[in-house]
Amino acid sequence: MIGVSKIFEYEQKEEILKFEHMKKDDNELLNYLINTYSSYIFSIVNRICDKSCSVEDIEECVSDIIISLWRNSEKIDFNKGTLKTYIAATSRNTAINLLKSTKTRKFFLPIKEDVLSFSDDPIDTILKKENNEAILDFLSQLNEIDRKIFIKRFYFGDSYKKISKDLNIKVRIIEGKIYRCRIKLKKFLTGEGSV
Amino acid sequence: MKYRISDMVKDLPEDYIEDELNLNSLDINKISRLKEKVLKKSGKCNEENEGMYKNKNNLSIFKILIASVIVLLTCVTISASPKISQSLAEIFKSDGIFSKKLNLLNDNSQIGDSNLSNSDNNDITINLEEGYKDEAGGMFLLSFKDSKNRISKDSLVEFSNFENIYTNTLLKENNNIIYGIVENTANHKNSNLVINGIYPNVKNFENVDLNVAIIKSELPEKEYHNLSYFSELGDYKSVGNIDFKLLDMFVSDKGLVLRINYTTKGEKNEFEIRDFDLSLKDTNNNIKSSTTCLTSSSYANSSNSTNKEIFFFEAIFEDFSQIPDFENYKLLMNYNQYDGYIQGDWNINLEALNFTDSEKINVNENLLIDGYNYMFKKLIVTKTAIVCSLGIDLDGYNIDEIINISSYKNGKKLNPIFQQIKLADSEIIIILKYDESLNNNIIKVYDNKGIELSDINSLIYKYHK
Repeated sequence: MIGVSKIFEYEQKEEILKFEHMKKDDNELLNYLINTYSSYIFSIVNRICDKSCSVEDIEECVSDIIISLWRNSEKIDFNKGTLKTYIAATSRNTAINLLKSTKTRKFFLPIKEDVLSFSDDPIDTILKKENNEAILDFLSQLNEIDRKIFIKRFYFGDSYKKISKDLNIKVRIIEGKIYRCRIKLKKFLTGEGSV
Repeated sequence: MKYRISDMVKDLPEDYIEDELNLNSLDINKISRLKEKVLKKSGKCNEENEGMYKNKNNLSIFKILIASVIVLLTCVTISASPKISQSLAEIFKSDGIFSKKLNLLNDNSQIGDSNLSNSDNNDITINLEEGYKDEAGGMFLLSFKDSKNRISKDSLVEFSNFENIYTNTLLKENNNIIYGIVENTANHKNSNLVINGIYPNVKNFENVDLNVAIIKSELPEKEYHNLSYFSELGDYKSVGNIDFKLLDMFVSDKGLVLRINYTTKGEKNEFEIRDFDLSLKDTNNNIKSSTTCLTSSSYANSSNSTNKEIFFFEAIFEDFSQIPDFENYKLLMNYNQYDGYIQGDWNINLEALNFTDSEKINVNENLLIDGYNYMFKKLIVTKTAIVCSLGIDLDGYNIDEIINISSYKNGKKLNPIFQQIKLADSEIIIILKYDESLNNNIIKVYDNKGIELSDINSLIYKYHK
């Protein structure tokens, strides 16, 4: 019987092979990106920009992302993650830039909340050498609710009100949970304790 | 080193985010429209745009002329437009920032009007003292008067705008009126600010018998640093539906350490304790205070929908190198809790007008506060207030921190009625308002650590009428 991880590995390999094959033909690659990933990209950009941008702006942004992927297809490094991970990161960055250009305050989290300060620099090595392994380890150790809240806040830039509404938890409890997640993350990254 | 958490999570694999996405949000129409756009762009990129990129520095004189005309027309239009639609940065380039007249939902209302569209008869009067609003949001100084004396300084106000709910702590109490600052971050010019309600602050000061006189010295040294003693476990003090419990106590190289927790129970978990202090009072009523910090918490969700959350604190008394004789001490616990939410529905809609009777001073020096590098951008002194703007050099951030700045006049610390901060994109604005006029007085500004900010010469400023 084939394990889930094995299936996942096959799927990844298949995705890489398909993409490598498509790269040989510009038109084919562009069509492949549009047909396969436009929904995925749209959903990320739409999720981050939420009601702060018009549908037209979001569609413009999605088309820019597809063009950028198409142009930079040679630079995609599958050793760093799957194609979907790369597309998600590109989409998120572009969506944030779109928000910046609209001068909306959405997504930009308060420094006090977003920035973690370290007196030494023990995590520099962890973060650089192991990419996002450390953060994934951290997330895997959080309980489901805390993980959801953490991702909603720091990946999607959701407001407390939105998180509260989505999860049916009081805003002030969300605030407390975010506060404690930050402490846990800092301790985790400095090796002072597990979650 | 500083790291942004939002950067750390930027490469999350799809498994972590797909639950959050609506992957069916694109219908056939949208997809075909998108496809059209992409193909159009890709076609342009191959032909026209690529050429344009290559030649972008070679604008013809004709293009420059056209651009100049557009810029000129734009300038004329902007200068003829009302200032209220300008961005904060643009307003700073102009003479005024501080609004003096405000239009509330109730037509013809101005500063000083009270009972702002209050739909409930809850005996709280909210008075709009000052306000400022532009497209990036607004900041309002409100005074609160509660005839039932339920609210006080440190009470929390919950308010909302177009898209978010925020809470703010009331700042200053003066003659039974409490002042608070409410920031409206809506980027919609005409969105209202709604005060949803207020959490009164309940100050608690308890003599807590935590049975500290029963001390044992049993645990292994390695586990508890320089362990000397350990208290009996299991004793707790209940306040409302919160249980306080002393977990352990020992002397380490940091001093006397007490570990304590509190447990909240109940379906709603309406309040938490945010401020928490322990102190020891001896028989001569001398009090030694500890530094207290939240160390961790755990959360349990039981089957009967009762939530239970435990918060762990560590209190350190630095002055102790050995366990004191606890028969001569009382342990005091001081904490605040917010309870008894007062529902409200106060709506505010503001229109900012320029305040012109002011002097503006340019400041271009960097200032390091709490490890962040701020830059003083502009500084305005009005008749009764100092307004200064700080920028920050971290790209992509909105400042969302309060920096306490005290000010002194002729060596004497001034007592501002309030201190308020306007938060805007990459800027923070501090407004200090005083009872007396600042006419012809030299003001020096100090930060919260007492460091004279006037080391930066341009921060000594003078108001001339």
